[in-house]
Amino acid sequence: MMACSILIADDETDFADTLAERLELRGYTVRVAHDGQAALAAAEANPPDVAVLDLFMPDMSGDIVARALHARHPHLPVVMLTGHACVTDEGTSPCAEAWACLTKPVALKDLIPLLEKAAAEGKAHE
Amino acid sequence: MNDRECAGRLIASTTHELRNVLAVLRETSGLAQDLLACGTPACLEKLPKALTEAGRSVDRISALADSLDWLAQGALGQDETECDLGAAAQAFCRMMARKGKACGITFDNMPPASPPVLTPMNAFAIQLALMDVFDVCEAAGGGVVISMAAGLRDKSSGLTLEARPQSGEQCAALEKLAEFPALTPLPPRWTDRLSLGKTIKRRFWLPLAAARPASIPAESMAECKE
Repeated sequence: MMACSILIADDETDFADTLAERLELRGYTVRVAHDGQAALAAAEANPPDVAVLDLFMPDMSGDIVARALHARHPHLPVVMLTGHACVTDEGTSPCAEAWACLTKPVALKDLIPLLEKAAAEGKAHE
Repeated sequence: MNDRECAGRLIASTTHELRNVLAVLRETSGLAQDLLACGTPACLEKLPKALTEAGRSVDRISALADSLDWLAQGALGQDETECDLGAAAQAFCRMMARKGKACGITFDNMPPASPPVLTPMNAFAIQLALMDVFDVCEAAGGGVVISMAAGLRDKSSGLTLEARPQSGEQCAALEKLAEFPALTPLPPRWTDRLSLGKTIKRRFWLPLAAARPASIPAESMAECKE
């Protein structure tokens, strides 16, 4: 396991808090935001190694948060995690800025290697 | 909007919500497993909370499944003779909750009418009528909270819709609802007039049956109190 810090932004508070707790039990440093503005503020104060964003949040959609993060931190990988279908009818991702886009629910055994890979790639580009 | 589009939108919003709740269930049940494996008193102390959250997710999934059943029954035309209007409206609110959240439309919890208000209208036709109201709010930019109550006016069944801004004193959606031909504006409750000095809640009547069916006894219908 590599040490990495993860920012989770999701308005489904039970999901975000529980995922964070499970990742913390595995030794990761995790911060949680329940809306887009809070996610941007958290990343500004202390940029994470990888950000996990919900696509639809009431104040600001995940793709707008991803764009803002990308502008400030170009090498910060963003993993979009959403209940919405990740691939549109046209076969495109709803978020061009995302390193990956996953449809909920995702098993932790699948999510963790992906987050580690994303964080490693982000660090390699810094 | 045709039936197919309406059904597609209801199912898309419900599927989105189901995936979200399944994700909560996966994490809370996974956390329970993690805490059991950890085994320390501090971990075991957190176990009841994780299990309670998992149970709550199952309840949410069950409610969504019930709502999908309403949609299916309506689409199959099995409810044409006797449809519980309050339950049909509640199903709509549950199914559109996720889409509503994304575009700033919140549905207040709606207690079921007791006794139920029955209507001869097909359950799917009720979903179509409510989708039109939803579209008016979405086109106006959302920012609105809607609650519904099934009742009777002039012996015809329908829904009383109460709309208020999510924040502030006004929102465009209230004005657009007032202009929507399918809705009849209702006077504000006197308690609303007194409490704030300024009326920020708007009330409307959405008729959902031409006339009360003869087969439904009068004592089983809840009169809408004005």
